[in-house]
Amino acid sequence: MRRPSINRRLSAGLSLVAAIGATILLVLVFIEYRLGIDTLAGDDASRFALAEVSDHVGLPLLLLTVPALLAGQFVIQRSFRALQESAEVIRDTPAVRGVRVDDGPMPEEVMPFVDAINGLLSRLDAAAREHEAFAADVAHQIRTPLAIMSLALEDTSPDTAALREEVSRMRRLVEQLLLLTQANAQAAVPSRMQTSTLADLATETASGFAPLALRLGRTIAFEDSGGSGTIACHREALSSALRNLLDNALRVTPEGSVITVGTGPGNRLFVRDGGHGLDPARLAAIVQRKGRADEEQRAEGARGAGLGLAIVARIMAAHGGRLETIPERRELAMVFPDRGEGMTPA
Amino acid sequence: MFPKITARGFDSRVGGGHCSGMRVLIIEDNERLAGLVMAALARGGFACDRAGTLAEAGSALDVAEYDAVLLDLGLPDGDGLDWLRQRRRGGFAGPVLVLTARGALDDRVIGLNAGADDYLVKPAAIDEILARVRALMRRPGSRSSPVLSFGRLSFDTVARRATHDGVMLDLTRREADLLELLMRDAGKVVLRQRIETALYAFDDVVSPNAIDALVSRLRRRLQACSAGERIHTLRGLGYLLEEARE
Repeated sequence: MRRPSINRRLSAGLSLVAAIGATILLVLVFIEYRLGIDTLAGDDASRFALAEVSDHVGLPLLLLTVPALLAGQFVIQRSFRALQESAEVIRDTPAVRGVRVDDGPMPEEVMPFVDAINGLLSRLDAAAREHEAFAADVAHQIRTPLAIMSLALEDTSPDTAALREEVSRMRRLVEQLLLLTQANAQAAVPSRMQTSTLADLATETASGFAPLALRLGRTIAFEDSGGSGTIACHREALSSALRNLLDNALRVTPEGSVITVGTGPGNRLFVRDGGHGLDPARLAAIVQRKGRADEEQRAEGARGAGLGLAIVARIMAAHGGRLETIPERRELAMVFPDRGEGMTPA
Repeated sequence: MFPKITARGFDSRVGGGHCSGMRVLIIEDNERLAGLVMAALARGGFACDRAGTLAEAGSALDVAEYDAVLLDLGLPDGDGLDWLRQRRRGGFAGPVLVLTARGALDDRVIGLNAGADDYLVKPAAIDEILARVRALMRRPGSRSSPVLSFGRLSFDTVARRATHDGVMLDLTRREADLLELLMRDAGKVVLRQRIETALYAFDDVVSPNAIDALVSRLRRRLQACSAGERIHTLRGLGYLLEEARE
């Protein structure tokens, strides 16, 4: 397909104007001098007519159209020079943060475009900053078990039980990171949406989790609070999200207590634990990865506790929903949008 | 034709001596990882063969019968799942546990669709691998004998008789059916609904606590012969048969 060009359009437009103008002028000339098709037959008459036409039609049109075309092209070239120069600057700029298109020399007409580009660049910067902070956070979290493990291995008779625990902690962390990258990729390219009922999703995930919970002295129950609907979702992602909530519940629920998974009211999946309930402000901080790992460790009593919840929040965002906490009921809930609205990923 | 025996592939059987006759094929190209898994399986009483490539795995399956196959996906001569799909189409029906370093969200589903019976993401704990292999062998249609065993419990699916440590359990027909269901999926949740459909006819009127009552009766039978195996109730979900704790 041929790309539209302003220059070509201008030439075509002016040619059209000239053609229409010429026709009208010709008609006028013919009427004024009472010329007819028959008068053109004679030799003298035709010469006279041609002279008249070139004087009154050709010349004025040429005098008007050609300068207009030249002037137009000149203006276009001048106006776009700013864009061309800017393109060269951008091409030569290394891939660093903080790059913006200089809007100083830009003509008013392209400002909406320039503003949109600059807006996108600053959003990309923010995302890159978030990624860097996150990578630093992760490195920090992995370094701690690594340090413990290498110290323990220096020992002449290493405590294998403790080592195993650190290894499983690292394994979990790596699993979480993989899940997070997948959740993000999913949010970027929403693919493979399936329909599923929340009750099926809850019973399946809870069943899968039950053996682990029982082994650790907690039990799992399922509760249907009504209104559990069918949703369009990426089932495996939601199942992982729910498993993360169960993991979290396992951490805060004392031995011998029940963790309840439930659906409803409305399009909602919840996990009720035996902890103290999570404060909304604290949840917001965890989700935005604002607390440092050290602080988190003190607050949650376990490393990496918050990463799981951050992942749940991202997976929910990709489903147009959110993660919410109801501390007085000791519930964390995955809330989905009502059917028919907002099922497109955020 | 016998499989080509090379240094890398087809290691000799490990722990063949005290095994229960259960034979497992491990298809894994990482020698060290395969060695560790084989040693663990040998401790668990399994005889193991190893294939380092899909070609070797194919020849192994052609000459020997295996109770289970442990399959890694990224192998030097091809993709494990494609291979499995082909074998399944070719009529191979043995239980397959896929063990892989891939861990993308949909891989599990894709793996199960390709014909795997279970799916574990590396690094998996050795105990987990052992538990899954044992669970695979309890599946219906497994080559093993018609006697299910779990911990000290055994259930003869043909004679419909259960024993604990050799002591016969006195079970009604429904209790025996329930025990079989729980034992086939021992260590996992058996959903209430599944029990309902398996134990009662379509037009049977099942009162809400009929299953609860049945489970408590079975529980009492197990306690009567001081079995350590316990049936957990998971409210709203179902039941789980758990191995005796030491």
